[in-house]
Amino acid sequence: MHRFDFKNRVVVLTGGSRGIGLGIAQAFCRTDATLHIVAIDSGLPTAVRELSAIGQGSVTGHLCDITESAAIQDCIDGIGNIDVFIANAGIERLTPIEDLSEEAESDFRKIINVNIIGTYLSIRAAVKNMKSGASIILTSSVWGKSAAGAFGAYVASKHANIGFMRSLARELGPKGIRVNCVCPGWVETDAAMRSLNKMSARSGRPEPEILGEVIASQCLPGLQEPADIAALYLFLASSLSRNITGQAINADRGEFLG
Amino acid sequence: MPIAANSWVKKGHTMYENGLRLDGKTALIVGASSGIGFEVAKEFALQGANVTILANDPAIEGAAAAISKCACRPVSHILCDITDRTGLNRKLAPLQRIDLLVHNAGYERLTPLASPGPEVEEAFRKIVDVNLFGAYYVTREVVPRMPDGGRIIYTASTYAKYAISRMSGYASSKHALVGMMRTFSHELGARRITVNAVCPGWVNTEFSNRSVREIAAETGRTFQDVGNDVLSLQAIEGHLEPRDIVGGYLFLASDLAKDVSGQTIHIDRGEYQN
Repeated sequence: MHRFDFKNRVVVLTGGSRGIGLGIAQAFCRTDATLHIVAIDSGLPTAVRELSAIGQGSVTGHLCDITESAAIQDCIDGIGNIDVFIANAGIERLTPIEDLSEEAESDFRKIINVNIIGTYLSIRAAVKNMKSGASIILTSSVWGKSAAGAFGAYVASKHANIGFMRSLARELGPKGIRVNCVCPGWVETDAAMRSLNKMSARSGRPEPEILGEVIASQCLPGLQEPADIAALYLFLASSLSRNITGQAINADRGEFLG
Repeated sequence: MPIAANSWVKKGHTMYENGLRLDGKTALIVGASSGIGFEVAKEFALQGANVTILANDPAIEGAAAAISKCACRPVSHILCDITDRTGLNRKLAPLQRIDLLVHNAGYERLTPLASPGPEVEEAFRKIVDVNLFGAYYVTREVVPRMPDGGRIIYTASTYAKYAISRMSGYASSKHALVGMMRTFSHELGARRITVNAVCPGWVNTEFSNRSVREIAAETGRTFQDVGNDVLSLQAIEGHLEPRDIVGGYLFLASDLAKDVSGQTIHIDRGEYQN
């Protein structure tokens, strides 16, 4: 193998219309995968159109909410056999414990519902269409291993993704299906920049100062872009990683070492 | 914004085309006369790297010849004890530039706490000397020769994260190696050098099988029985072969892994999950 090649391999990606997911989608398009993107945001058709121009594979968009059990099952069943399933869809909001508003509680429930229950429902729907040699990859976060204040629901959900992944690795290992997490650090996405803005407003510190601290805590310089994260997904989806399962691997320029 | 220029990242966007090729890179693989190191060196040579292999084992010459034949390119070899600092310095002198360092040399013996006598203490010291100081000496020699964007990959072990009885020396040394790796990843990050460790599970090599044999002899059990204790922890069944481990090293060495640093990558079929 000289380069990653996913020609004729069916890759299903949730949350692939923007942010890190769009970066992952571009990487699989460049490696000629047959790509299916499941998303609920209005940018999906545009993303699919732009992605279709890359590589030799095909790109299909599926407008579906992963938290709707029946809908996600129908959607995944319609795709048929799956070689690589990437559970990437998720939401990130601040949920400060001292915020007693109904909105904060609602955000908390929504984050858990999408990041944990939605991940469960989408993977459950996919597993029955996966055979030995297939790979499941979940997007966790460095905050699946560490934490930042005011992100209780998000941090809890990302820790949960890792626990869920480890259990699935044991459960699906005998069938030859591997399950791993990618834990991105800070990446230049709308979601992360919105969080940065909120963190700035809460602390009264300028955004560049907060972001500067994050970058300074990394071993390697600079803020990551979605394309930087995608390579680890290609690796974990490929046969090069055929003996790697149950692992949570960071793509974070060395922000969290553990 | 106080963010370093990202121009080197932009260039990386062609990385999918270059993929896993290592053309033009100079690689030093330490501990490559057999087993995992040999297979890694062979893979790197096949991907176009200029490979030098080093070991404290006369078999290193034959290993270089075998890799050279397989990859159809010259492969250099160095016979050297990595715990001998001055010898190491002299032997590495001809190497001007090292883009990729795979430090795989190691020493594994049982060091049961209950064993009296000087032998076990001697074994403990040698394990730490080879596995930790050896890695330290080699890294210190290599770093001045490594250009920005280089790669350092250590072979740790699942026993860098947990331990079994009678492995105190080995588990200590491998845990320590991970601590050193994490520190170096901070120190070298400004030069965009990534530093990571691969943690193999139980691989079918004489290096590891020897310990299983000795545990079996000490406990009056069979080799198979003791081995099954380890294999039963895996999520995916079967005994790993050296060849099964190389994918992780190749990925970490490639341009694709430029954002992965300070990490331990377990290639153990799910034996240990972290």
